[in-house]
Amino acid sequence: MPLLELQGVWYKYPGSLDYALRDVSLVVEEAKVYVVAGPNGAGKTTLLLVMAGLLEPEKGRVLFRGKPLKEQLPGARRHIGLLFQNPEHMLFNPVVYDEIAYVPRQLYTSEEYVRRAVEEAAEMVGLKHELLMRPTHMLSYGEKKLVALASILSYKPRLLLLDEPYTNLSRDYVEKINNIIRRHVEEGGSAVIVCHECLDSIRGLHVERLYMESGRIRPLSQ
Amino acid sequence: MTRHIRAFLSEVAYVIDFLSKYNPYSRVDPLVLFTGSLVFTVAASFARSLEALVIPLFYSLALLAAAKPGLSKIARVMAPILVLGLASSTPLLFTSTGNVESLASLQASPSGEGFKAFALLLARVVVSPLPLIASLMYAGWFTVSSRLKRLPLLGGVVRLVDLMAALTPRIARYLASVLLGRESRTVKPSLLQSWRGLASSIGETILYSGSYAEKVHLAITARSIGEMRVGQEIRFTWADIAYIATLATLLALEAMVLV
Ligand SMILES: Nc1ncnc2c1ncn2[C@@H]1O[C@H](COP(=O)(O)OP(=O)(O)OP(=O)(O)O)[C@@H](O)[C@H]1O
Ligand SMILES: [Mg+2]
Repeated sequence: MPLLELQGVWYKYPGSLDYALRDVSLVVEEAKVYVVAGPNGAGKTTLLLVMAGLLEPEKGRVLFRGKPLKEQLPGARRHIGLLFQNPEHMLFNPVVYDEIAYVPRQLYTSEEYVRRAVEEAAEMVGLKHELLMRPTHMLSYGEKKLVALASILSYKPRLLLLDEPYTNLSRDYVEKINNIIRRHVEEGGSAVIVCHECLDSIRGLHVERLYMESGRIRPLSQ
Repeated sequence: MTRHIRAFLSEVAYVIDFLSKYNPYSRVDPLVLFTGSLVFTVAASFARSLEALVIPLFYSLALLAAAKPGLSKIARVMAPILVLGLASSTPLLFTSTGNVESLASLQASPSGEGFKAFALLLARVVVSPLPLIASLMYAGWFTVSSRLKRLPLLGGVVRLVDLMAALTPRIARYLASVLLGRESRTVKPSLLQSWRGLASSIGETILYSGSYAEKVHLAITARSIGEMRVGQEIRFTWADIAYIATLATLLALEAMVLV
């Protein structure tokens, strides 16, 4: 059974005339990586928000493990990690530690487990230890991106939804992210990566490629 | 001028962020701590004599000693309250009775009665928020709110305060950066220009904060599975019991002073 499935999804932002998603169908299997490319305004971010159950389609269905995602919220969020395109929109806690601990604090009853989860996630993205107590606004853009990524890795979701994960990161961090994705897949997880110019970045990853334009999605043959 | 406004905005953001952090190592149950502090804040704001302020002050100082935030942080949080207190109490200095009934009751030089009324009002304004502020410095708002959210009626309000605590510093910083962006492109500075700039920057920030709040709300929802579980088990430790016992004693003393 696929992990997540979209069936003929249509979505229109309130007050807008045009559909941002038009009849989008997509099957996300376990242990697979999908890369969705496409120009600005194609609907890639909207696609991820729908997959995370944050926007509700006007038509069509979103299934998580074969059942409507909507009926499994908020519990199913534990299995979905969404990295926002702009990390500044994701950081709402006073310091880095709290940001990464946000979900673990909902999962565990002991701060000791929370601390371990935070440190592990920080280590995975290569975040320096002295940054943990830093206010999130006192970080460079790239560091914010890493904190945002750590804040979803800290609870080990099955499905990673990454919106432009590579932009504004230097080459060694791009490699680091690819290693995280590789390990995630080895452990049976799936990922959907959205980006316009990432042919270079995803080299070395085994991926399924898709293309999106004007709200429509199609597979991209190599 | 915009430079001072920027400094003010980042100060506001700093103070709110500092007071809202999460302290997992609070030794006293945050809910118990917060309620106790609230009682002192209320008691202090009704104080009719300086003596009635001693115990709330003592309580706050004890909490601050435990929190050890550092003098500069205390000063930064208390400065605006002191200014507010001075602004509201200074007129009392220039009355003969300690009451401002009308503008006519003001006189040119300070009087003894006036000074007493001035000192009491100033002390009241400064001391009454202190127990709450001290408890937030000790535990942090998010620690307190993670417990408060589980209460049946308060839940919604607390969530709203949470969102405000998260958004306000970020929006203040955004406004500061918009002002900076404007300043960087200001070739010929003038007072009129900078007021105009401020007004339009505030307008732009209001528009921005709407869409920003929407996005942060999405981000919070995306990572909300259930309530905070850390610290959920009610565990009355020796620290709680000692705290409650001290609280009861101090409250009894305070009641004696007030009555
Ligand atoms: N909040 C919104 N309200 C109305 N329309 C929106 C909103 N957000 C996006 N849109 C519109 O929906 C369409 C798809 O936007 P989306 O953000 O999904 O594009 P994208 O592929 O992620 O683009 P980019 O590569 O620039 O991030 C665009 O035409 C955009 O103008
Ligand atoms: Mg996008």
